[in-house]
Amino acid sequence: MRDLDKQFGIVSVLFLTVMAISPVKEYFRQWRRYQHSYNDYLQTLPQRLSPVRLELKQIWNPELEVIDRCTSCHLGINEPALKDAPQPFTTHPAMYHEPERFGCTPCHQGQGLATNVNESFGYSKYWDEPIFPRPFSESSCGTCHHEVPVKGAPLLNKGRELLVEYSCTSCHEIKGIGKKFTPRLDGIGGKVSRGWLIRWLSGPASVSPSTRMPDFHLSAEETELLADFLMSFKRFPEAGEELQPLPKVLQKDIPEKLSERGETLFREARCISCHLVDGKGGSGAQEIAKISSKASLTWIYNFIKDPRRLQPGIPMPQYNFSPEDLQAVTAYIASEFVDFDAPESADTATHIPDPNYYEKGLALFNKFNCRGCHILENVPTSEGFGPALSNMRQKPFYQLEFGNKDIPRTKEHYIIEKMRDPRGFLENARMPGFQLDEQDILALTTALLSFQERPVPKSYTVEENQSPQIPLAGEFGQLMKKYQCLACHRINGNGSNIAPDLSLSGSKLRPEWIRNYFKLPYTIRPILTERMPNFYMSDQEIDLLSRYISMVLRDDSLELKQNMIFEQIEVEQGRKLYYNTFACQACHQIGGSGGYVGPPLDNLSGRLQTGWVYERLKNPHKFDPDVLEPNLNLTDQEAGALAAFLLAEGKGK
Amino acid sequence: MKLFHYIIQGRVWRSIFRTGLPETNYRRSLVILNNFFLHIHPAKVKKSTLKFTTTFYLGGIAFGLYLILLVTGIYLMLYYRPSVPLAYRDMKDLEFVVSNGKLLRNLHRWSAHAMVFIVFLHMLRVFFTRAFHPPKEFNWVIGVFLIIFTLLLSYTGYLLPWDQLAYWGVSVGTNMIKATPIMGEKIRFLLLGGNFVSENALLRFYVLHCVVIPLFLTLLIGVHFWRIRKDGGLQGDLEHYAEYEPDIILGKNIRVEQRESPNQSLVGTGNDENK
Repeated sequence: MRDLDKQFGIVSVLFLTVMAISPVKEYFRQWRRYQHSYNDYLQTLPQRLSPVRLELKQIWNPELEVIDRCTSCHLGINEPALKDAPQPFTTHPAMYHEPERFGCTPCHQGQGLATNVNESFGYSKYWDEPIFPRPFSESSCGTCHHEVPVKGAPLLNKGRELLVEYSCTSCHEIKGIGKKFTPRLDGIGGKVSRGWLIRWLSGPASVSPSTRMPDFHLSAEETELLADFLMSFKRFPEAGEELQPLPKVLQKDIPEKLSERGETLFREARCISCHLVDGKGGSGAQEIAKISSKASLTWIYNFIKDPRRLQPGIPMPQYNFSPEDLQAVTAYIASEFVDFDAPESADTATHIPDPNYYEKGLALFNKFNCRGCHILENVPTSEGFGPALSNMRQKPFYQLEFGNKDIPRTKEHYIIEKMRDPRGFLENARMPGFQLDEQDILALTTALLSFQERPVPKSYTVEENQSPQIPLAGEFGQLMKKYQCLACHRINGNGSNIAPDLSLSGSKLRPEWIRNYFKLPYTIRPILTERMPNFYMSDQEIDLLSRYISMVLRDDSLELKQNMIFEQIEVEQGRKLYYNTFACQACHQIGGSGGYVGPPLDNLSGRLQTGWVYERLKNPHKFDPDVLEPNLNLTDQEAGALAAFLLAEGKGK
Repeated sequence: MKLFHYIIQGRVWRSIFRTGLPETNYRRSLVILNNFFLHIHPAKVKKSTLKFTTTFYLGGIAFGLYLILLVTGIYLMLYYRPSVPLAYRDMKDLEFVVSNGKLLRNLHRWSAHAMVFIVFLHMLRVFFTRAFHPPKEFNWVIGVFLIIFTLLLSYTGYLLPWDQLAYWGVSVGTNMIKATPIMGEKIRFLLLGGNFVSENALLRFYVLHCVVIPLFLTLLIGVHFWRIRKDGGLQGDLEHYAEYEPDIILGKNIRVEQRESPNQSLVGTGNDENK
């Protein structure tokens, strides 16, 4: 009996001890230790900061479904004095949203509910969204900010641009991301030679280094089949079936004189504003240095004559060349833009295609989803799309197939590796290889990680800047389409950023200047590659465009100061302000002396309207928030004087 | 001391503890018989059956685990809400915020694991000691139902954390149900409240786990214990009953007519004494 008592006693004590473990552990929790050491740390500081109450702290935002207890240990995020404090007490660097309202996990991810280091970082088996590695933190901005561009998130903006640039949505569903123009393949058999097509398909970048088309790593056999299949499309259904025949002059040996004239026209038309030729020129369009070895001369002739007849939707302007000029330009291209290194395509004549080349080629065309980017008549849409990427941020981890790759098992490493080696994870992967450098990959990863389907409350999102579409109707609309003004310019939020915004150009520019400019465009900023081409517009067209611009594209609030009259004394005051007070010559030139950053200011009075100059001086960012010019906060009087000086200076010379 | 005597001789005390101090065997049996909580127990127990090696206390341990599960389960119900957005979060709160929440949840979890294990061992023990022989065959059947309910409790509790393991565990399990001939699809639909594991399934599993199955289990545990007493108490080997005849005194309300088992004579002795 005694023994039993003793045993009972021992067991009881043991039981109590075991039961005490949990409360003791509860008392020595990590966050309590951090709060103690925070209060201790505050004692060592020269300034007096009030210690924190020892308690679990949390940020609760039911709208965002946020419960974040991070601030239980990160106690100094709002305290500027703790900039150099050790973690986790350091001040948060530049903060765009107040943490009391937004919490931490909407931007950083991780496990906000957790109260110890390992768990809250989320590198745990039981949490799908570990804390974001720093290089990709901008992707969090993208979950709520859909505007373009997102301020302070250059990587995200670049990534989103690249997604459009490479037409990723051709294969992957990504909500809110568009596509770049890609040529349709109708009539490709009548455009290119088989030899060129084979070289192109077996490595687009080796033919044109700046191309956006990825390399599909086709085998030699696949390349042949696909080329035979594509070469069988010789009709142009959009262009009334047939190409117009080449003029007689171009059919035989091309006279040198014609070609020389073409060269002049080619220069005047500023083709290299968009096209790269021998390493010079813009990046807006395709490289054309070897175009004659690619496309047939008939096709080139027809294309320059009316680009949108052969390629609807292409942003190339339709030049108003006379028939002779058109022949001259074609002649120049035919004689100069030849790839002299191209291997002789001798096999074209002797080649006998596989008897089932059409079916096999179509199967390849569908397998690699060529249809995603290129429209081809009669070919039904293929179903072999890649996975949707609209929910990449929330994509459950177990859905990622890492294969045998020896990389860390994280989502960002997966995406990066997928872009470096698109077919590395799975044997039957079909994704082609794009020409991406490491910075591109980082940007794309950041952008991809920003896509989520989990809804964010409307009051927390910033939507894409929706601007009303300007109606491209009537004669003006026809001209805008013909000359593709919006491929470079921007009007009321529509169009591109390459050339100046024209939304207010009616208030900015003098009507007579606009008229003369269309007749003979020149460049205002000589350091730019992209220059306004000479479209050889007819007088009628110039009249219509300049009248429309002067009458419609204006802001009435700029009218009032139109008739400001300046006196000589103001001009002198302005001169002083220009040269001495503000030293504008550091960036601008007048009479050939000054800096290169801003445009020259000669002859302003012939070009600009007074009211606009005045307003622009008052606030340079009024018309374009991204302009480099500093806001000098001029008084009305200073602005007036400066405007007087600038306008008068041009007039005299 | 006076006060003590006053209390235990008072009307209230005696209305609760009616038997007084048990000094004779008869009185001792009365203590058991007159107490609601103890009457489920045999009035007298053979000493040999109390030996550890006879039963390994497996049934008792299982019952103890059941009690722990009942208590911790009720505590957990205070913190857990069976809805899709909240279930996993409540789990996290138990881990990180609720005082001793981790202990609470782990006690529930490990007791549940242990109960399945122990109940299974209990069944093996009963089987190998031939304790399911008549007159205990009916209690064996009840025991089988108890083990099924234990497993069902385990299974329904599995979904409640609403994590990947739970989700797929239940998805696979209910897909297996679908393979049942004729009514498989219907049963699955009934169980999930839909065609796949969703909020309805979570709610149904919660109700099953916290109300329906525990209710049946508790009821059957009562019957199981009562049956032990009715069938002659705990014992190892029925064939040796006769040898220990003097030790066995059965409850008086066992009726002779019903007994057709080898130990009929023993029952007789019990009845004699009560006359």
